[in-house]
Amino acid sequence: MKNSLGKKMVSIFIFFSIVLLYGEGFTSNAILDKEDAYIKEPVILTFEIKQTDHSKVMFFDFTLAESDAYEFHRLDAKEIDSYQGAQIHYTYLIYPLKSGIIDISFHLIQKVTTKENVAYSFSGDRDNVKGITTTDTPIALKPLQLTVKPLPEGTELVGDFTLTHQIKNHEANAYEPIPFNIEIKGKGYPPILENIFLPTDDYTLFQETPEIRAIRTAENTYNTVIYSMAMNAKKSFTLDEIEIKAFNPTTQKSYIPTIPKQEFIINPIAHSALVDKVDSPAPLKASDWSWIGTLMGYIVVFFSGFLTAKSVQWHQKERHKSDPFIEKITRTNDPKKLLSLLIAEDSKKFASAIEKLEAHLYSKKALDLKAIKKELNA
Amino acid sequence: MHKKIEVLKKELSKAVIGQEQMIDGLLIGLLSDGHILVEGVPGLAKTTTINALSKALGLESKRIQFTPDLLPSDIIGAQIYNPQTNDFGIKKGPLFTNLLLADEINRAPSKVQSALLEVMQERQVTIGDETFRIEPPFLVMATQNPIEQEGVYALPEAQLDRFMMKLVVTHNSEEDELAIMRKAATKSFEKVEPVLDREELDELRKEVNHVYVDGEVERYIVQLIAATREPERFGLESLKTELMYGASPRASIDLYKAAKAKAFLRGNDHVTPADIGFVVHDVLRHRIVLSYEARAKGISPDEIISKIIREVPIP
Repeated sequence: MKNSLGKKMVSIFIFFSIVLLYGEGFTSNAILDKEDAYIKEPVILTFEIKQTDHSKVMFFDFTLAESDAYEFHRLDAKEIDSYQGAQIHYTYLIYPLKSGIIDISFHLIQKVTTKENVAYSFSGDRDNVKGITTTDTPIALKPLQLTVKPLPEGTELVGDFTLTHQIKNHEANAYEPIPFNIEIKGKGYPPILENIFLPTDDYTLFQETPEIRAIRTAENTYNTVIYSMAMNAKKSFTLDEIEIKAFNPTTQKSYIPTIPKQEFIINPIAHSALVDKVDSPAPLKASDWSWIGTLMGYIVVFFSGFLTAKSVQWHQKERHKSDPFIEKITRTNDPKKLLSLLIAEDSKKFASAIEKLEAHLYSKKALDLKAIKKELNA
Repeated sequence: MHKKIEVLKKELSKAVIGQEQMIDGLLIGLLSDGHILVEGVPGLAKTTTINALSKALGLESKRIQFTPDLLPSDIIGAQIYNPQTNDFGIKKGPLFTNLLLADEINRAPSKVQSALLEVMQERQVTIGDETFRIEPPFLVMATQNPIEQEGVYALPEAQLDRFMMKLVVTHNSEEDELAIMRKAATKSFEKVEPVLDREELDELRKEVNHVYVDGEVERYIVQLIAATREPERFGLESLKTELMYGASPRASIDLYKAAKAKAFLRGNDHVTPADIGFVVHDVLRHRIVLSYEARAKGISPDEIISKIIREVPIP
């Protein structure tokens, strides 16, 4: 009896895998709760960092390295906040994805700073954030090794799951949708299945994105996945029995959750009854001349634009023609009158014409009144 | 003599691009003892033009920036106590110059404006009990900024009358502005050199006095001014309600002098109605007072002057 208790005590304290590091002023250790596991069986990793050099201020950045051999989720990070004595305890849930011996690697960065730098960072405010200046040192940690066992062939679900289904009716009219829900519930690796039904011509399947609810704990993931779908068909059909091969790593036994075979009776219906009488589109005509209307619309729009642009030009010409100043110039044949008109209008603008008129009137030089008028009208 | 004007204009064009109207106005003022009021936004080369003109003529120029806290003594000068001689000495103000740029004249209170305008008219200044004569040539170019109306002291009509011409200076053409931009960026404006001296300027002024004005042209000037006072006599009944006050006799004198100077600048020895036409708007626009009705209709003094020119028979 004593012997067996002693063995248990030893097995509690001797963990399956331990990485122990005595770094620059801190210690760390990583522990896996098992030394081997099946693919998709939950493995808990705890990682602990403890500052030993209390003369400095230290911070740590820790995470698991991404790998296609496993997936991981951080469950918890507890920090014991004592004066220059950082102590952090991380808990991760890991699902191995490949069989064989896999390496679980880590990224750890030690950040060292001073009290003064910390005090300076606190002197900032919302609009003047001051960061902490740290000396960062990447720490090389030896990866943990985990032996991963393969699953029995054809296994789709890993964990302890129950499969339920809900079909509202087994009889419908042709092309009438038949709602069909499947729910997979239980603890284990999230039961997300690509194709529950094999493709068939007997019915048309409409599928929504599965509704997934997953709660991760230090033991496993508690899942509820609901597949909502609907089927319709033009004639009666049979849905074959659905069998999903599952494996429970705890009991190390395979089991097959099943949805029994389903018979659906489809009542034929006249095609006319299928037409949506409220929002029905206009029936297709043998010859569709609607493009002529569209083309005419474009032509009308083009000509409206063209005529509008032209009308602006016409209006400008009209305005030019009906400008009282231009009209007066056109009507005036007396050089003196024309001179006074030009002086009154803008002596600087019409300086050239004014000088010609002036030369004619007061220096008896020849005048081409028509040429002047033409110049003014231009 | 007209060649000297050409040389002067060419020299001015080294520093001033475009703005022929302002240069012509300044030359008219300088040749016929008039003062010029310029209305225009800042940056139209007003100071540059005055400086260039003073350099080209070997004259002295000064600039006064009018501000609300300016005092008459700041511009005309004051008696300053001298502790060494135990007596008051005279400190002459910036008015004692040949070409004066009175920038934003409507920013200073009326007592400062009056002090300047009085000197412009009398051409003498009294500081304490001593009177000083301002030596000719003396030209004031005052500016008004048309944009800002807050915190300005508008010049009364009687004071405006002392300006021979009011020029409305607009922006340069795009071509001119391009040339200004390039020259300013490369600092390649040429230095203005003196091309005329005082004696030559005096000769030009005498020449302007000798420009002949025919009796009919003189009568035309008087009729234009009379039409601003009694428009109905010239078939301009509509102007009766639009005009509150017509132009003063000083307007006839200034139009006469400005037309002579314009004719001279154009190289003529006699004044024609065209010379009058070139300056009439500038001479009259600040001297006629529009009625409230006309201002409400948005009628400008220039429109009224144009109506008068159209109706008063040209000789």
